[in-house]
Amino acid sequence: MTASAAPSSAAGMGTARDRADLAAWMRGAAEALNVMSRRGPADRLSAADEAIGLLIGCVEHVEPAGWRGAGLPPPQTHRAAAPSPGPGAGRAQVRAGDPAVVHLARAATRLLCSTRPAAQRPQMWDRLAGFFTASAEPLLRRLQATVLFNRVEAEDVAPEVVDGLFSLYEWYRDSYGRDAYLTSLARTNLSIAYRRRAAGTDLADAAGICREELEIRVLRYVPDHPFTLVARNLLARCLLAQAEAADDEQERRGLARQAYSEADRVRAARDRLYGATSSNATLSRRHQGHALLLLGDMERARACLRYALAFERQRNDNTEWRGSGRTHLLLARVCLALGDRAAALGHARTAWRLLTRDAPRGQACRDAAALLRQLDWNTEGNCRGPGIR
Amino acid sequence: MPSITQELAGTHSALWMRGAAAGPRAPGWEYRRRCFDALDLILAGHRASRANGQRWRQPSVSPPGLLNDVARLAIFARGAVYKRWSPNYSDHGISRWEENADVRPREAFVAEAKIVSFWPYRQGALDIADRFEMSLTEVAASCLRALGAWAGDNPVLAACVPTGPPLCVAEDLKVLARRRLARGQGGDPGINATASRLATLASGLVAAVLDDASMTPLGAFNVIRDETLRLLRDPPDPAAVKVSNALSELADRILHRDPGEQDLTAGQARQLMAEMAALSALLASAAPGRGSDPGGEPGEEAGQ
Repeated sequence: MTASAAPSSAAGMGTARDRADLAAWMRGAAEALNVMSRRGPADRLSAADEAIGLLIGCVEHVEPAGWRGAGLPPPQTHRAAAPSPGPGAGRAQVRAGDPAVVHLARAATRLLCSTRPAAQRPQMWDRLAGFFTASAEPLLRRLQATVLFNRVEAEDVAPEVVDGLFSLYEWYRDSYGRDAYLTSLARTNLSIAYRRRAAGTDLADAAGICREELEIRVLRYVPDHPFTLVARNLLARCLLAQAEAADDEQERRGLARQAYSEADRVRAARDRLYGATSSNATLSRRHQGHALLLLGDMERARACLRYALAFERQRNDNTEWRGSGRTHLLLARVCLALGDRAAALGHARTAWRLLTRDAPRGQACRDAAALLRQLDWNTEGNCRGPGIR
Repeated sequence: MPSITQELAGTHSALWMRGAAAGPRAPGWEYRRRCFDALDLILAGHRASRANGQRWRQPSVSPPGLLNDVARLAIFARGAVYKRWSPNYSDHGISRWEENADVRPREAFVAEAKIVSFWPYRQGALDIADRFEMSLTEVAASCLRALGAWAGDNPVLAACVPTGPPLCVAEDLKVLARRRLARGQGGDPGINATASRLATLASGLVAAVLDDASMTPLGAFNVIRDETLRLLRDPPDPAAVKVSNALSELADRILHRDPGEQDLTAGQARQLMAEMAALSALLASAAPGRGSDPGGEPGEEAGQ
C-alpha cells in the first residue's frame, strides 16, 4: 500500500476531515475489493482477508473479536494488521456505523460467501446485519434484503422471508420510485422468492413480475443491457418452472418454447457481451437445455447441457463446480429419457452429491433424491463416504 | 515497465495533489480546504428532495455568486479567493491545468473541489489494485466503480456545473488507453480517441448515479461495462478469434439444427474431439490459473 500517496496527509491527526478522507478511501477500496469477486477462490479469500484487516485497522472501538462476531474472522492469508491507508498516517479511525465501514464489511462478507455453499450464507449475512443494526436506514434495508435473498437462495421461502421481501419492495418503491434501480432489484428478488415457493398462484405471479420488470428495464436501459438481460433470464426461469408444473402437455410445450426463445435471446447477447464460456452465457445454455428437455428434444438437450457442463468445469479450473448440481440433474433426466440408464445414474449421483452440499433443503436436491430412487439407487446406503455428507 | 498504478501516480493531477497536499504546512492547502468546506455548506442546500413515487434525481446545480459566498463563509477576502483560482496562480510550482489555462476562477474552483473530494476514493481503489496486481480492465473497473461511489456520496458536487466527473478521471483513463494501445496501434490519435470515448463513458456513469438516488456503483458501472471493457481489453489474437468463432458456429449448428438435419459425422466428431483435447492441453500450459469465475451473474446484485 502506498500510504504516503493518500491525499490529505497534510491535515492533522484524527480530525473530522481525516476521518472523512479515511472513510472515502475505504469506500474506494471496497469497490476495488468487489472487483476481486471475479477472481478465483484463493484470490477472493485473500481479498476478504484484506478487507477484514482494513476493518480491524481503520475502525474505532471494535476489537478483532467484535468483527469475528460479525462473521468476519481474523485474516488467514495476510498479515492481520492491515496497512495504514489513509490520511493522518493511519492515526485516524472511523466510527463503526460509518457507511464506508458497512460497505467494506459487505465486500468482505460477499467475498467470503462466494467461497461457501449457499446453505451457509444466510447465517453469515445475518451476523453482519446484526452487527450493523444501528446503521442508517438505507444501508440497513440493503443488509436486510441481502439476508432475505440469501435465505431464498438457500431454498428457504418461509412466510416471513417472502413477506419481508415484499415489505422491502414497498419501501424501495415509496422511497426511490417505481422504476429506480434498487426497486427493480427488490422486485426481482420477490419474483425469485415466489418462483422458489411455487405455491398457489406463485409461479404465475413470479412470471408477471418478471414481465413487468422486463418492460421497465427495456425502457430505462436498452434491450441488451446486462441488467435487462438478468430480467429476461429470470423470466425464462419462471416459464421453465411453469412448464415443469403444467399438467397439460400442450401448455407445457408452449411455455417451454417461450422459455427457449427468451433464454436463447439472452444467451446470444451474453455470448457477445461476456464471451461464450462466461458464467452468464453458460447459465443461459443450461436454461436452453432445460427447455429442450421439456420439449422432448432430448438429443439437443443433451448436447446443450454437456456444453454448459464443460464450460462450468472449465471456469472452475477444470474441476467440478459446486454450482453444477442442477446441470447434472437435468442431464440425468435427459439420459434417462434417452434410455441411457448408466449415464443417468452417474449424473443423478453427482447432482445429489453437489446439491446436498450446496442447498440441502432445496427442491432441486429433493428432485435429485427422487430421481435416484426412481433409478433404484439408495441415497442413504450408497452416498456416505469421504467428503459426502 | 512501470506498473499501471505507478503510471497513474504520474498524471498531472497526481503530481499537483502531491505538491498541493505535501504536508500539514503545504502552502495554501488549509486555505483551499476551508473554501471547499464552505462549498459543501452551500451545496448542501441544493440536494434534491425525494419525490414520492417518482425516481429521486439530482439535477445540475449552479449556485449564483458561488465564489462570493465561498469567500464569505470561509471568512476570506473575495479578491483573494478569485485570485487563488485565477489561471496563472500557483502556490507550489505546479500549474493546476495541463490544458485550457484560460479556465475561469469559478470553474477552476469547482474542478479542484471535485478532484480533492474524489482523491481518497481513487487512492483507495488504486491501493487495492496495486495490492492484488490487477489487470488493466480490473483497474479500470475499480476506478470507475470508485467514481460511482464518489458520485453517490457527493451527488450535489458531482452535479455542480460543469456537471460530471473530476478532471483527473479523464487523465487516468488516458493512461489506461495509452497502456492498452502501447503496441503502436493507432498511435496518439488512437490513444486520444480511446481516451476521449472512455471519458464520455465515465460521464455517463456519473449521469446514471445522478439520475437515480438508489443507483449503486456496480449498477452504474454496468451501464458502461460493455464498451469500457471492449475498449481496454487486449487486442484478440487473430488465430484465437478464428478458432473461437469456428467453435461457436459449430456449437450453434449442433445445438440449433433442424430435426433430421445432419451435422457432423461420428468420425468427424471423434477427430475434432481428439484435436481439441490436444489443443486444450496446449492452452492449459499457456493459461496458468489466474482464477476461475465464481459463477455469479454480472449485472445482477442479488438481494441488495
